[in-house]
Amino acid sequence: MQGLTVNLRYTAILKSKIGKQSRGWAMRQNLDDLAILGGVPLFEAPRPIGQLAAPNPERFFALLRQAYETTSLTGQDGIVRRLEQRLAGLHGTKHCVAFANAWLGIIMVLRLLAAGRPGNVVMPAFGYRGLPHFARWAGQMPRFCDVDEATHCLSPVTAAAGIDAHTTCILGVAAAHSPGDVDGLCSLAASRNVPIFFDSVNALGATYRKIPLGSFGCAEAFSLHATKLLNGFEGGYVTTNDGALAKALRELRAGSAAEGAIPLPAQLNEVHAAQAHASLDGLDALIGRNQQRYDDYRTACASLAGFRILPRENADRERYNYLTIAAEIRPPWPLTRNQTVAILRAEGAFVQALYSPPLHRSVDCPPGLAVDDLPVAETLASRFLLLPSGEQVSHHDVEQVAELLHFIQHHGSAIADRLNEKTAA
Amino acid sequence: MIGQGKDFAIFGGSPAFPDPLRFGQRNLPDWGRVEASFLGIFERQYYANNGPLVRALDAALARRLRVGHAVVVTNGAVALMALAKGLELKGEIVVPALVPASTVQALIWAGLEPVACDVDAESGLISAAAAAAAITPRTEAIASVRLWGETSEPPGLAALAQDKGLALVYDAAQAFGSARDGRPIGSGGAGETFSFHEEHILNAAEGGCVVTDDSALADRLRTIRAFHASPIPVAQRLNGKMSEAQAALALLSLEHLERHIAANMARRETYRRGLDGIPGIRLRAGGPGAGNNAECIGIDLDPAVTGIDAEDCVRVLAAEGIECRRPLIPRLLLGNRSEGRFAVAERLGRCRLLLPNGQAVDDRQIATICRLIHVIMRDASRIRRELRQRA
Repeated sequence: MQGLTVNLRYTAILKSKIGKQSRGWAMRQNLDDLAILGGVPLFEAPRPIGQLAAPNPERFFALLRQAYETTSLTGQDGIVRRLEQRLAGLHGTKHCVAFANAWLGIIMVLRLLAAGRPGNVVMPAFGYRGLPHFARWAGQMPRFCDVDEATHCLSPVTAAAGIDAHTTCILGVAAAHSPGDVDGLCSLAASRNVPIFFDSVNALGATYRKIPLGSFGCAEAFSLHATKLLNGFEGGYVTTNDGALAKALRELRAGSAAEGAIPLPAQLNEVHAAQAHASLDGLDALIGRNQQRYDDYRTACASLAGFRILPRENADRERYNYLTIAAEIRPPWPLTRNQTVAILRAEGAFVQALYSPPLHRSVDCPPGLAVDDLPVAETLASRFLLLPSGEQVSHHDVEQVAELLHFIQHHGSAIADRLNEKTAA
Repeated sequence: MIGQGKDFAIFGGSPAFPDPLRFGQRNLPDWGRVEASFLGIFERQYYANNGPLVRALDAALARRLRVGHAVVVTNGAVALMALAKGLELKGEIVVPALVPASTVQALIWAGLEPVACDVDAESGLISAAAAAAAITPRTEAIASVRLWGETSEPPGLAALAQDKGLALVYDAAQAFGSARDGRPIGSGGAGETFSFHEEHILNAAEGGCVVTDDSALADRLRTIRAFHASPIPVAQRLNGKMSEAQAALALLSLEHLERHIAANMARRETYRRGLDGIPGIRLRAGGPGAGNNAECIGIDLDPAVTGIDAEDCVRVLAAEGIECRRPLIPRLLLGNRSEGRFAVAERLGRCRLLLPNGQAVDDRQIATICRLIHVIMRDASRIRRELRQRA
């Protein structure tokens, strides 16, 4: 009975939460209604980018209670170990090693693959700000390479251009809308005798050749950060079929590495693991809701010329998590990508330019590292933005964003003039 | 249990604690408070990324430690890595030979070369004279480790760092809540780091922080700890974000800090009574009035009197289900060079023993541990003989 009362309490408290309101765009007629030009923002509470799933609290508390009874919230084999088993099952891999966050897992894999050699890590120049820092933490330098225009990923050709005698690893990154040419990259890696490791943080749940991501290359890395598909508050994990690599990673994170290796405390705690378990329970339904949001955006934005919701590649055959909604801006869209971002952000739609500037032209490029032009990465970095997504974005919100975009399209040149005046002033 | 016609567990008897007593504080807040706090998180649906509880924790820690800034991160090792990058340290860093292995690991991951020096015979802390001898033209910093909640400053160390133009940093993982002359530990050198691993007094299911009075350093640390857009230039960043879950636990733990210190003092007093009168055993200083958070309850054995050293004691007690620790020189510091360079540290490793001291350890259990230590000392010569024969 005690348990039942508690369960009802959790549900009652959390269900009392009222959905976030928005004022509605339909009433607006004038440019001055745009928040960037002094109007009232469309969304009172910002609409974020990021999954921010709300897992079942009953399940979370029941698991946390188990850890509580052992008086240990970290370093135990209980909840974390079971999570690793479930995740290995999800990805169809022999091993899964969990970490306090994805960064810790990635730098450990990169360091193990480098095997003590200082060198360079081949990585896409159109990518996450953290990538070059990952290489540096593993005692390596980043080697930025161009990407494929359609997949946004390294291609066998662009990656080959970066490989030399000092390459310790290829760090492939799966894009949310495409895992890229995984087989081609793996063949390249094998032919050049270089290890390949995939950062698949944005592609959890996706497939390549109908095989779940997780088992490609030497290993793949995923995140349990709340803004990603699986909300474990924070955390990360590495999947692999390489038993020796998995063993070495377990030793490193527990501080008990073999001679020559440098361990680092990096364990996932039981609290975060409990939340990840609860999130995993609702994964299929969550992906279904993501796909609904993605479809809503595609429908609502279909008639916007020059504003395209980036489609998933081979969506008829492959699975995706549909969390990320990227939009591509090209002529005849009347405003620049950056202007569009600024307008939407002022309205409380927390959009972001995607991977802009490209890494080789950013502050995250190590000082003194000269990199030639990488034309595709530079072009892509000027074109894309990420739209509000995840569980804090409703069907109505998507419609509101789309109405706003239609308004922008309709009044494009006038808005551009006003923004230019504003900048000049 | 031994003493009633049975032998020690290490020689085949039944252990005193079939369910082992683990080392470390393992302080947990009342379940009801945890439930309420997590329901708050679930209502706000704000889970990570510098959330309201993380911001509250940064502020509460700075207030409690009376420092300008606290920057919370994933764990104590990440705190040291962030501090090393925040100070842009390269080259060698002098560390005491008695230092947690994780500290050495974190410094190496941060690109530094830890160079060990011997420690002071009484405090076990870094000795300024030994540190001075370890300095080379490539040295950029000295790390002082506040072992066992020690509040004393190694004499001459700050002056040495200043004279040589070296950054002085403190690993204060074991000293959260310790105070010297009423002032909380935390404002030493260029910055201090803490760990909120459950072994320590403040438990955030891991977690750690850097504290400093240097505002510019604090700004760099806040940029370093995540990959968000930031106007502050730093060379190397990391993901050291603490979650709202960890911050919730840390805030509750902080609220109960004085209670935890008092409980540690009470357990220390129980140990004192139980160990009183055993020849060759001395409870380490750190009782009421010492300012120590008392998370580490240590005893010094005089092997010449007791006939057994700390290493054998740890083994015998471990077999009984009692997890103790003794000071160890991390393997990474020994390298290929000959041993014997750290004579004082090695000697402390043979005579110093840290006892279980956690929220879950009660007076009856402490009495059992003390009785066992009595019996071990009484039987020391046989134990030593049999252990040697086995080896």
